[in-house]
Amino acid sequence: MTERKLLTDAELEALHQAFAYHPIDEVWNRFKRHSLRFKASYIFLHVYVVSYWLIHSIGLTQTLLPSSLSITDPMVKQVMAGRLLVGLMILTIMNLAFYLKIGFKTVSLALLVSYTYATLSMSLVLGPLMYAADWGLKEFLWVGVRLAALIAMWQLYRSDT
Amino acid sequence: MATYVNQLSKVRLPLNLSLLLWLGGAVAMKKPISTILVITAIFNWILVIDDYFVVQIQNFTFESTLGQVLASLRPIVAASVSLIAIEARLHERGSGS
Repeated sequence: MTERKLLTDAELEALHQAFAYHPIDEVWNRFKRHSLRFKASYIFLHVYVVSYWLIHSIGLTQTLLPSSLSITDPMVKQVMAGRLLVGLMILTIMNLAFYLKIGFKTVSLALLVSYTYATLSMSLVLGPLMYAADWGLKEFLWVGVRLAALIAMWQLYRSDT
Repeated sequence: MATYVNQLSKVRLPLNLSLLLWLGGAVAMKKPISTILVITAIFNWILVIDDYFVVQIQNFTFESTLGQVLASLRPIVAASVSLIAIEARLHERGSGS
């Protein structure tokens, strides 16, 4: 038997918080008190994942992707839909974590790991194709937005929420 | 599909190996390991969701029995790594490191 406590006082307090009702005004005020970087990252990630999901669900993903990447394989479409759904699930849990003031760092880490994995996995296919392709505004924008999303996730993970 | 399978072996394997090496290095140098284990657990859960809900690995017929067994053990592995990560975190917090 170890002598460590199962829960620290801070965690016990957090558990009490988890079952307490937080008026939405208080949650909103808490959000407003965060740095501009945090707020921008939080909102950007929500807009990014939700709009990506909506565009994918109406079958217009091709308009977002670089011209050199043509997704004709149904499996690739399914994988993209699955990963976007995972992203939406993590975002939902993140909102819950922010509301309950518990586990926000772990959820942001989950989003970061998940997105890094998806990016690496996609880069493997896209890398050689894009290397050979002509780079236009769409390609730069696509890479830029993905990079911005990664930075936003990193910012949320580093925040003291 | 072939491209996707190719991706799996070229991304997952190096990532898992680097996590394992990172863990090995941390253990050898007596550094805290709970963060590495939490990242490994999260990564494993993402892979389980990818395999079971997206690729639907449960419907595949594997040529080798070992492949089938390994595939069916995936969620158990993820759950075990999660438990080890929680235990390591509690232990490291308890010992003040």
